[in-house]
Amino acid sequence: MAFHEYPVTQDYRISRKVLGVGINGKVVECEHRQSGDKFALKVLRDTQKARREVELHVMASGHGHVVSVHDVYKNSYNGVDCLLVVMENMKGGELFNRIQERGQKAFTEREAAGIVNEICSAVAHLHRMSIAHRDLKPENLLYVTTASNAALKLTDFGFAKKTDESEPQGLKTACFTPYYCAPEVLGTEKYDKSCDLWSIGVIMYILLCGYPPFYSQHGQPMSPGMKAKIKSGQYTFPSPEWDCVSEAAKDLIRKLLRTEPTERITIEQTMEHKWISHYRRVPDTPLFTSSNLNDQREQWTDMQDEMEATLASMRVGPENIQIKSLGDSNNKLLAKRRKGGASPKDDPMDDIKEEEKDDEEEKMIS
Amino acid sequence: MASVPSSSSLPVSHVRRHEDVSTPSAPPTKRSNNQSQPPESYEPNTWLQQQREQEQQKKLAAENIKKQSIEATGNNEMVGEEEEDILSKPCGPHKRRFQFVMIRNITFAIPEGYDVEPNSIEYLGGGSFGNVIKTSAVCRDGLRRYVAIKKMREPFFDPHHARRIFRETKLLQLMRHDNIICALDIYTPDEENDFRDVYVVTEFAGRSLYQILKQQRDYGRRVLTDEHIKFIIYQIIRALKYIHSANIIHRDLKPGNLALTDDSDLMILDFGLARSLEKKDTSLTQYVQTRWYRSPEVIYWKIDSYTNLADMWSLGCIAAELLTGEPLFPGDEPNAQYQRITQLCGSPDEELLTKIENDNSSAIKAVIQSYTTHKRRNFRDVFSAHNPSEDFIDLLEKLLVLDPEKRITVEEAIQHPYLAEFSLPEDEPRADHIFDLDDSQARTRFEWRDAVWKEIMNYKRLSSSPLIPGEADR
Repeated sequence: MAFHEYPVTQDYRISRKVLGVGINGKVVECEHRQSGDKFALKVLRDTQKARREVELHVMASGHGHVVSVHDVYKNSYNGVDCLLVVMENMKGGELFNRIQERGQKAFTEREAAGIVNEICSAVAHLHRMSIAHRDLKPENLLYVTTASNAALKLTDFGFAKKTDESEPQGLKTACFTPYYCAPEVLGTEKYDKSCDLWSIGVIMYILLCGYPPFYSQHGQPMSPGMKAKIKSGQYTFPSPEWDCVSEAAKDLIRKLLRTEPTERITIEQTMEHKWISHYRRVPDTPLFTSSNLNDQREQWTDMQDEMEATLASMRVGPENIQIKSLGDSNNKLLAKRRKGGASPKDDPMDDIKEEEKDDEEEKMIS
Repeated sequence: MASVPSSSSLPVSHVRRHEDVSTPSAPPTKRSNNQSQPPESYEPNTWLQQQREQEQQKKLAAENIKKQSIEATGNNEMVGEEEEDILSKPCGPHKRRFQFVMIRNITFAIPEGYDVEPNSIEYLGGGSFGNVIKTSAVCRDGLRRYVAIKKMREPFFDPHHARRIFRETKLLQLMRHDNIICALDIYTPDEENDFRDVYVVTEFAGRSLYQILKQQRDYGRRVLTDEHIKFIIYQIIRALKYIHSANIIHRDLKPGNLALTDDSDLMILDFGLARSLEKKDTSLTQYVQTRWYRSPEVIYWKIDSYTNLADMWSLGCIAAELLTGEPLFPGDEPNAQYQRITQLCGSPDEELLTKIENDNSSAIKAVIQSYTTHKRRNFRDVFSAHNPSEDFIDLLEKLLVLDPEKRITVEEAIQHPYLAEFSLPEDEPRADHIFDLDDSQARTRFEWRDAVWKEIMNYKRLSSSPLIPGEADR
């Protein structure tokens, strides 16, 4: 899709209504001047990363379960180049809000299977094009309208990645250096895609019970050790929510939440799993989901934060690079340059003294 | 969460024989650029191809045997017990013993004394010039160090390639500076009459800035703070002061050639392209740096006589990238890159155009004049979104100057106020002599091979070099 270079305001009237905030920019409502149709407008600073996001979103657009992109403008504001992405306006809101708000009529396993099937078809579409979304979470799943048969669509390609090239075209040349080429550059396709499958597993789990799989204990606030639990795959199917959930559903969840990315099933295998391939014949069992979601409204943001953090750590790939702050660095050049060489790190006695002080303080308190 | 493929899951296997093929993973990219090279004597390389084919077959055969034995015993770790058997007979110029270890389908000869446990070897990456693994070794000073072993890819494929290997082995020995990688070992398991493989061992210097910047881009997570950036720039300049004082131009400064440890130690890696300015040299080739970091005089004009100020331009590109997280001039091809450069730095002025005309021809000047002219932009405005300090912008302004004669030199840059907090002139050494690489005359690849053999023979081991068992007795 070619970018329009003329001002977006020529075609659209921009409202002040903020619809959401994506990782790379905010989304406001806009209206097409001729038709009066409402759209969502995402404003991104024109960087390589933003170009990548737009390029991949445009590429994926057109599928029934992917939010479609209508127009892209490249405009400049106060000397800052921006990309403006006009997208389908998703009036139906987020996936779980809708389930939370239904109240009287119970949400069933068959409905859950229908939803997971929609998500899977979007992910399968992306993976077929060698795109990993890598940010598949409840906030990025939106309904087109509030109608009960509205389609669920995936959005926000801010972390999406083309898996069949190690780098966007231009960058390839930058890495023919014989030393220290990132090992993760090689053979990460499976790794990047498996992140989306894990997300599907988590979302499916929440759909079936109303709380996330990695909980310190059901009903209690999220434990800070959630990461460790996810890593070791510690989750259960507690009573009573899971008592009447089908064995097929649990089987699929187990396969999606495998801790080793290479052992996790692919999207094709997921689509072939009978709980998805025969989603219309999944038992119509009523679930605890709506009421549990309502009970745990307050913990929902914690859950979002944890899921975001986990996805971020998965996206980091095989290696999580961290550089110590200069103050904490054990660096010879720096040590020479610190006035008088009086860095506390230079003298191990300083540390010991401090520890003693702490001990004394503790004694005084006790 | 996703468990991380650890080094233990690497396909490391031990083989007893010394066979090899070139790796399929990295295409021989740069060789196609040979059209830009000065004419050199290219011997027909059919015998080389034949040899490679033979090697391939031998390797396949060896693999089959290995597979069978693994299937038969069901035991993948049959190595440890017969350690003694695994080492080769003493061979190579120094009669050392080696273990041949297969990593990602590449056979590495690892000298006795290095850690060869499969779990301790990590594949770091490959490029057009070789493949690199990381392991550790006990060194002569008694410390255990992480080392990077680079196996050169077909080092004597052609004279151009062979010369680069020579330059790199030479410079890695000559350079002695905290911020420049140096060779801890250079070896081959081959005998002189069958000398094919060159291994260069350096200290493991951390991840490359390319990896770090890529991670920042890919995952939207900032790893480098403003203080890191300043200290990185300081260390690059500190290294360049030494390099330039030795009359060497690095010519290939880019994030991929700079390594950074967790403790912010910066190392310049890879001198394959560096070249001595000592001899009057008319064959400096224009296809040297990754183009994004190349200075305009290298890409577009004065291609025959560029100076070490080309490195300062590269530093400017790197500094800006550290600030913004994005490459500064990512042109897909030279024209697009020229557009980006002039859009930021302005088109050449009359004075520069005159210099270009005098140094080259009016044709180049005419081409330059045919491009759209741009005014130099205000750097403060351009980079304002990233809140750089005034001093940073001032240094950047002085680095990214089209006319190299007006660009800041390394000796000036190291005194720039931006770096004042790190300045310590008595600890910013220059080289004590000018390095003459003696590599400018054309030689055949066999002559280069002999020169590299000599380098290996004469390599002086350092106190930080890996210990050869029994070394003290020899």
